[in-house]
Amino acid sequence: MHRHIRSAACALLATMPFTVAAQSYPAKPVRVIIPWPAGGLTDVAGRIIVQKMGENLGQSFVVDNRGGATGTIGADLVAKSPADGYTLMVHSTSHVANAHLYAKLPYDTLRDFTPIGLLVAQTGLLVVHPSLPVKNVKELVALARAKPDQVLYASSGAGSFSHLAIALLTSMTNTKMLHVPYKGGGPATTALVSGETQFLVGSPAAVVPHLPSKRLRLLAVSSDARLPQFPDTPTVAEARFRATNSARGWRCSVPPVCRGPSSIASMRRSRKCRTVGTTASTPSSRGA
Amino acid sequence: MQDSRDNRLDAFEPWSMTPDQTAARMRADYEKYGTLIRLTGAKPE
Repeated sequence: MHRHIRSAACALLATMPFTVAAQSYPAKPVRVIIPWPAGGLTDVAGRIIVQKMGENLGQSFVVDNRGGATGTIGADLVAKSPADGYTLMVHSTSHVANAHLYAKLPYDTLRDFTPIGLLVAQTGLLVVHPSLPVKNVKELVALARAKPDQVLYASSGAGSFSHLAIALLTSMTNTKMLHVPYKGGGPATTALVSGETQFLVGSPAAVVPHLPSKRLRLLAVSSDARLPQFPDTPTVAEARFRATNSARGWRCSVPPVCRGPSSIASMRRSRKCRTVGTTASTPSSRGA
Repeated sequence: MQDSRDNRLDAFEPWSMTPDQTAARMRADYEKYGTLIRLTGAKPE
């Protein structure tokens, strides 16, 4: 998988036409802010990819972890950095969710950043405690219909991907299940294993270790198609609920958007912006 | 020899998009998650 993640870095680089400006960029180390603590999933994926970018571009890409407040502290730092291509950010789905979770952010999620590319996708695994008498998603939904607000699901926090993926399911199936938020995917999984809750949508990294021992039972995956790792496990969509579309988290790279007299669109079309791959414009453009 | 990060990377699969595709995806997810958050009444921890 490590090799595949590196291929994602190569693909990202392929979106950057290395033309004239490539000879001058990057002329100095590039700071890459990851608004999550070191060792987390975004950090791990981001570090591998930016390392490969540095190798390909012949310059240092220095990761700077600025965690806190579900990524908003680091994102604010990036938003206020010069839009010169030397400050990038690798963020997660929380970047767009935060815009709705917080009444007021010190930046505009869509206008203050310009995406470079999505790097990796993360599929959620819907797992249940073995005591829950359901063998598939249809039975889970049927149980929730029969017992409104009595089926408990864990999440890594209110507004997290693991919360919203199930919120999507309950919305599309007109069911009511009780949300129990925890402080991260690890504690949420531990709570499920111990029987505090009855199911969750978690990351493979968190839940797969509990499958062989049957401490958790895998019902479905949240992706569009079945995963090669679990060919016998159906997708949630296969349960054929109306519009139960896929729910996938992602990690992307977003620098501060270039600002100035030109429109964002024209900036993004410009050779320099595309070459930098960060849609950055001139150093003085921001705030101009 | 695998390092300790490899197991964590099993959680991911490469997903390559152009800047325009990425922007479109972010806008779509911005709306999608906004709807869900309003629906659930989720608040930050």
